[in-house]
Amino acid sequence: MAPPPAPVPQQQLVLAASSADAGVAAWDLRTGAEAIRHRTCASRPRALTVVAGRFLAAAQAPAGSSAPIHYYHWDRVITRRKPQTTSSNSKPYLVSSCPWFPLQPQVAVKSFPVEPIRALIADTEGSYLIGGGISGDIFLWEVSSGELLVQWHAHYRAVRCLALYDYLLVSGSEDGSIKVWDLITMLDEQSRLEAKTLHLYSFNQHGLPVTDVACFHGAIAVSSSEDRTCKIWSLYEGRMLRSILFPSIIDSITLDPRSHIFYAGGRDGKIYVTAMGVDVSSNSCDDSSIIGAFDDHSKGVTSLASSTDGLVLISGSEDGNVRVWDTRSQQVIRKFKHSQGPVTNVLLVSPKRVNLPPLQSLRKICSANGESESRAVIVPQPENDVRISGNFSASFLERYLGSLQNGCSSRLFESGASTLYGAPNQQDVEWRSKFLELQDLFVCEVLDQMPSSNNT
Amino acid sequence: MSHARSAPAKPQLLRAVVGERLPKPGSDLPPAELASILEAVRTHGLLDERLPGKPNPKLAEAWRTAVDAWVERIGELMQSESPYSRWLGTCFLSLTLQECSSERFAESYSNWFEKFLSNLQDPSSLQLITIVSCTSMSDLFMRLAKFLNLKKEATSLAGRVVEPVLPLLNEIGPVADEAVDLLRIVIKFYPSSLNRYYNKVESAIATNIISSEVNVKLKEKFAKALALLPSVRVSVESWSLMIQKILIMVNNLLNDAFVGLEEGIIIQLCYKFYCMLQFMVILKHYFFTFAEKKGHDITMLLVPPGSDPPPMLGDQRRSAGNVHVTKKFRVCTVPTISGLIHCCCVMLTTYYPVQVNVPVRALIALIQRALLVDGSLHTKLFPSTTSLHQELICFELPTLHSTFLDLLSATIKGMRSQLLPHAANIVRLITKYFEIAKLPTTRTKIYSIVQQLLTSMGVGMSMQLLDVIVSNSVADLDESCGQDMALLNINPTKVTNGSSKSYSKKRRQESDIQKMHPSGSEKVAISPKKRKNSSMPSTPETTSDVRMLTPHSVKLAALETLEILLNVGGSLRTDHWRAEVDLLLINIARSAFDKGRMCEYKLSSTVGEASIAEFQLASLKALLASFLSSHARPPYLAQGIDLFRRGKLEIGTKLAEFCSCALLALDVLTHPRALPLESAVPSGPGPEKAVFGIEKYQLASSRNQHQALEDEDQYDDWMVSTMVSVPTCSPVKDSPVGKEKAIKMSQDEKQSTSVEEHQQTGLATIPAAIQDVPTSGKSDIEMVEADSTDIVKLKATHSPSSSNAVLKPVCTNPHDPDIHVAALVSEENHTNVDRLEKKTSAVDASPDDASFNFMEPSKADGSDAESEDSMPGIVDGDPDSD
Repeated sequence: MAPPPAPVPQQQLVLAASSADAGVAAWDLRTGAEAIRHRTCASRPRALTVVAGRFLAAAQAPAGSSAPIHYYHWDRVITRRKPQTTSSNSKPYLVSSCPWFPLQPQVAVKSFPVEPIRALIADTEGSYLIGGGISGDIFLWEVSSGELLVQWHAHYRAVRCLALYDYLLVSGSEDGSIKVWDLITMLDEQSRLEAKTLHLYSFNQHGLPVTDVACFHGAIAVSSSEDRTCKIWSLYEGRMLRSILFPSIIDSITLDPRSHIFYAGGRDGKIYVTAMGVDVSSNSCDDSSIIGAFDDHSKGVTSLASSTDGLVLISGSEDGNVRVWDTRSQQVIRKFKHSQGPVTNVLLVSPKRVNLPPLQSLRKICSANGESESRAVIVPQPENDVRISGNFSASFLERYLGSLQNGCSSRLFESGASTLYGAPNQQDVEWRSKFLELQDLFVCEVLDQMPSSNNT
Repeated sequence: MSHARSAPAKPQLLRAVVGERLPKPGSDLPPAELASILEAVRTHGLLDERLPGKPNPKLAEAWRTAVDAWVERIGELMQSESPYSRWLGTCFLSLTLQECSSERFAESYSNWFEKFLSNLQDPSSLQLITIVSCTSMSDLFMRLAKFLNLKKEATSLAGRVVEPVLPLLNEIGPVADEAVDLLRIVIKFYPSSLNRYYNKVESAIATNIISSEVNVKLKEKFAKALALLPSVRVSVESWSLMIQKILIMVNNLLNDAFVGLEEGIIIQLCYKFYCMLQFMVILKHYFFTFAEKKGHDITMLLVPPGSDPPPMLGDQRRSAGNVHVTKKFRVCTVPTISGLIHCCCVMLTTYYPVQVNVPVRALIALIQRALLVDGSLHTKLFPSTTSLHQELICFELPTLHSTFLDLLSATIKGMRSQLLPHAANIVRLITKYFEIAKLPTTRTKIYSIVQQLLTSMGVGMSMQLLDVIVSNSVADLDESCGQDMALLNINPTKVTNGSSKSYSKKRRQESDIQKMHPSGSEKVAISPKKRKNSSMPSTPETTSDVRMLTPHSVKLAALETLEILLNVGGSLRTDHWRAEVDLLLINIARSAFDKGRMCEYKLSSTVGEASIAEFQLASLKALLASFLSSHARPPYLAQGIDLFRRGKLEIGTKLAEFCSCALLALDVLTHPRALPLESAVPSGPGPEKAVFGIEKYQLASSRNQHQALEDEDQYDDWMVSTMVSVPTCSPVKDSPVGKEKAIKMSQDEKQSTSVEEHQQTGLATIPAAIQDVPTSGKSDIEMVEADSTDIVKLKATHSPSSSNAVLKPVCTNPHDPDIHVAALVSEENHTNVDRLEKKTSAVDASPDDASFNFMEPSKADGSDAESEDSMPGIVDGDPDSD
């Protein structure tokens, strides 16, 4: 057991989706109880994403003629949960307190893009959804309005995986190429016209389809491919830094948050712990940077997710199980049975239950002529609750002294009092002198924190 | 008085105050006496009725009656005929409501509220009394807001206060000031109470913002209140409506102001910058546009065709109707615009209870419109406006620009990632605006906006802005060097003599350093800019007051921007700009440091003292960023470390704090450490398992350090430990290979030291070894030098294996796939645990002593063990054994 030693116990959900239609399952990481299962979801790998913790989006595997994108809310309860009650992150969110069990959660919104979406991600703030289609096109939608902001042809064959580093988009394709796109350029028509090539970099070192891409700080991207290698790229310089050969095809990778190592899930059922770059120059063999392996799956590991503290690793396998690993002891600490079919996606999320406006379904095509009113929004924040400002103690006198210092009072006595309110004139003069006296006194007393010498 | 702090004395004390010192109604009180009463009450807490320790009913009762008496007397004062007494009473009551116990407050707040309210409502009240009543009322509501159970009552009270406050908003300065504060507190804490008065409040505030008689500071307060107003009626519409109204009004004001001005620009720009304006949708179609047209476009963005325009903000009564036309723009238009824009900024950056839509396109179009009006461009270009009008407007343009820059900054803050579709537009705007912005305030602001953009959008944005930032900041920062030289003749005072002495002292120090790192600093001296600097012995003594064309604030902003650029995208396209920027930064840091020293001798009367410290700090921060962000070995590291070390001696300043941080950060750079995987978690379930990977990891790193040295440049800048990648093992240190080479050599020597030390830490995890690293590496350079020669010797003995392999790619391109497969197969025969255990034993077997002599053998052990136990098939493929 590895209870994360976070001071704030926040609910963490392990999510899993399968390519067979078994829905999206969610288990509470701490209790291990199955929290919810969103029905009708059959996604291929890298097609399940969480939009800034607010809701889930999953691109469906094509069934018949349609391949929609589904949105799911965290809980299909009354949507108007009071935001105040769920607002504070400090409140432990107990599963038992959520009356969601009796209700079978449904797909909240269905959207129908022009082609089946193979890979789907959202940016960290949940403003955009980016999908890679089977034709090699990449679609970028604005979540708040559902507008398709831009669509471009990225690869010759299907886009298998996507990753974001800041606003650089890394896409890996079935044709073995990896391309890096600058979204600022891609989103602007004029920049697109001016750019020599649309993509920032194009990497062709992988010989076979790219299966997964992950980015990490320092502009490092790691990619895995069916050619049994993982390659590490620098997005700053646009070149390959390393290539690591594995004993089996790697289907998924995830990075340890400390970025020393990454985990590579192999088709042989092992999760390889791989050093990112320290012992680059092994004289013997590539796999010397593979410094260990987790081995419990009977079938291939299809998807991996790691917790933010790096202590927990989630893996989904073709055998239909989801395993939770303690990365220190390499032990399986939990095992969830998802379905008979292969698990294709696992995620570890801390749901943010905020008051969501109605979700918009994603548009099929870009609205003509760039007239699409992209809708920027200010999302309500939980901390929006009226805070009682702490300056109560800043007492009236000090505030008043402030105004006295600014010389307002003297002006007040000159112009205001007598003329406007007809106060007796002789008092004015008297008061004014009194006030100047008082002002000096207060200034020296309050500001200098010195006991007044005039004190009786 | 000495007993005063103990609780029993407090009731007595209070009684004494009430009985003897508190004035009777109508009577006079000298201010000194009044102050002493206030002080006594507040310092001793005479009113708080909180008894420490166990309850003491008798005492509590005594205190209660005393406070009752106090309150009663205050009541008498407030009801007195004499305005002075009433004023006194109000002050004391305000004091009471802050100091009294919660029980008492909850009991009598409504009573007190009535008293304040009657003051507010009484038209014959003196201004002073009104002011005091307003502030007291604010305090009352603020304290009341803490009583959650009284929310309902408080709301009804708040509703009653609105009406009397509204006329006060139109009073002269101080009254309106306090009144608007009160109004803001009411809106913030009890929004629902204002519901009935919404329109009235809006128009009252709007009138004040438009009015030309309200000063700027007060206008900002009004703007804040206006920004809060939509929370009275929480809905998507009310927020959008408000911002729509504001933007339309601003746009209309701009229409009036820019008549004629924009024509010239547009005519010019249409040809020159047609592309830049292209984003405005309709502009694309009409191509040719005038001020009204442009304004119309923005209106179109705000109010989609087909929908009704929103009602005007407030009642739109132009209070400046009688102002002369020449003054109108300055007195009326510009302040109104800044007030309204300020309101927009507040609305954009504060959260709203529901999700609201922001008209980003209109905002950006508006910003663009205002910022691209350049007062200097087009003097000869207008037939249609009088030159007077033009002059007037251009005179106020900086204010206007700075207002709109604020709006841009607020937009960036509020929209964050959602600005992405407009990012390219903004980049173009900024690029253009950098050419226009010549004044310090606007330039500083545009720099800070660039900083925001960089931090919010990261690498992509730094790619876009790289050229602009580098060219502009280099221009801003470099200018000072030239200026320094120009000023040299103007300033031949005794300061010059004194400081040149210390400068030569510095030179001596520097030459000392040069002795230590002969080649490293030589390079600096070679570079032309550096020579320019150092050949002028007077560079450091130009003092703050006469120094530069580019003002401090701009240089500071430029430095900060460079720092952030280095942080975010320091390794982007390094060949284009890094060399220049690195050199610039080290030069600036050095000159700033010297200037700072000079300034110490001067009087603090010179304006720039604080800013010089700031400048030093900023320059050192940027320098650190330049060191940390470069993936190659930073060229001026030695000089930088020297600066940081000297800065650390300035004890008690921010600079010293920062310098010690910087040294710590650089320590990691100079002595890279391979941390074990699970270093931070000593205890865990199954500790023997929790240390998984450590041995292997350390073993690997120590074993491979040797190869790291000969690795080819593919890996050189990838991780810190591999930066040691330039071939070093050839012991040709003294042979003349050219200066560059020598520099590299000297640096590499240092690196190899660090590598060895790194091995030390890696192998022997005993804390003593770890502690050795910083001391030997950092503070004692000579030691390091000595050590490094040893190491080179060691290297030389080892070189046969390594020098052969220099050109061979070691780990990527599998040179022989078959062998790999074989390796993999053989790998799979061994379980990991086996391998680990063997390795562990190998490490354990090696002596833990951290001396260098033991290092090499242990290394050899490690690699032997490795090749023997796990990969027999690979030995042949090993480049070392070729």
